Amino acid sequence: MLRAILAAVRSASGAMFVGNGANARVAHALDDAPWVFYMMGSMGMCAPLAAGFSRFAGRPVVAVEGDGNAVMGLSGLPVVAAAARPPFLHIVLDNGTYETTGGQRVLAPDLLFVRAAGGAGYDPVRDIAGMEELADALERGLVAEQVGFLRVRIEPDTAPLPPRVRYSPEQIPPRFIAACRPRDGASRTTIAGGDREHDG
Amino acid sequence: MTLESDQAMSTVTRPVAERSRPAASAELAHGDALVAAIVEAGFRFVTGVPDSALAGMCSALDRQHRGQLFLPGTREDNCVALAAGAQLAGTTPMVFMKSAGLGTCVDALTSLVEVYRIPLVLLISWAGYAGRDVPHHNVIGEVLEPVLEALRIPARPARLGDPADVARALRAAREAAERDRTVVAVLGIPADLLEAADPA
Repeated sequence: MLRAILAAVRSASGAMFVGNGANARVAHALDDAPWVFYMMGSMGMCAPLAAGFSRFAGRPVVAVEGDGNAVMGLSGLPVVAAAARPPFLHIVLDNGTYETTGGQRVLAPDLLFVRAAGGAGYDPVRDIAGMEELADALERGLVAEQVGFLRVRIEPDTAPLPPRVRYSPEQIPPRFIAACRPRDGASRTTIAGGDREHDG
Repeated sequence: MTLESDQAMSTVTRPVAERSRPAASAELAHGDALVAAIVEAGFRFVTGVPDSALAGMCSALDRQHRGQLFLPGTREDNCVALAAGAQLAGTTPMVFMKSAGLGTCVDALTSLVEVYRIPLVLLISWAGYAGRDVPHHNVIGEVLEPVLEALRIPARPARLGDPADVARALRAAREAAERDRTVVAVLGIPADLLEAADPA
């Protein structure tokens, strides 16, 4: 799943935030890309970090996290939906367990993420079970004028984790920022223009 | 309620309720002056959770700047992550919070902003200053400085009643944060608590 997501973000010249430790390690082992921001800690903060970046970055942005991370970040869903600029995809890889700590079950009922994301204002919200559906959602989502949410059901992975990300945390922002500089001709936004969010 | 109706609801902007306790005009004028101080100090994106000591500023941001300079978060931790993302995209952010909010965002500050060395300025309204506030603010108010010191977050005080003083402190904090790639806090002392601490 992460392999397909990385390939889609690469071909869309996008940026990606991946949390937490285990997903970051797997993503780093698959493709050591400077436009990926590897998050080691701060559970639940992957999507709001990605949304804050998306708001001013002028390129497609994807936030990928596990279900343990996502359930901790539920209160941030309306923040992400309001702050992110399209194209933006918030992807939750949902294996139902805290895999890195021994496979304890996450307290996240089946419909929690899709209902919470729909209520928070993401559109579209998709519940995805297979690779083909994911490929379709990525292809549409990375070019659409939408802030979308994908819940992707996956099986727990029994393979040993790849090595830790070889960069120290403080090495990651400079290479990420350099890789995500505005492209030639693109003007950098310092104060946001119009907005998806309307104030009553 | 079905999933479909949840999603339909999310696209409807809720009407703003009649305010039962409107902010006083002096409070609003002071709020406008604080917003001007924030902009003058060089900040181009502001997020936070409303606080009574910053009520005028929060109202000014909500009514006149929402969706542009300002977007609200829902907890101080997602505000910190959102602001960190904006900083990665080249926009200078500021997060405001009440002293109690520090407890909510310690993990986001330590395992995201500090270790990745992302410059960030916090404006913390010092509820509980000198233990002269309501009981539920006094504990955090009295330990705020040692807690920040233990978290290795430099802090400088400012008088909230004096927007020019706030502007000076915020500018100095921004310059220090950018120079040292670190988190810096400005501790805004509410005027009424400052007066109480200096009996005539």
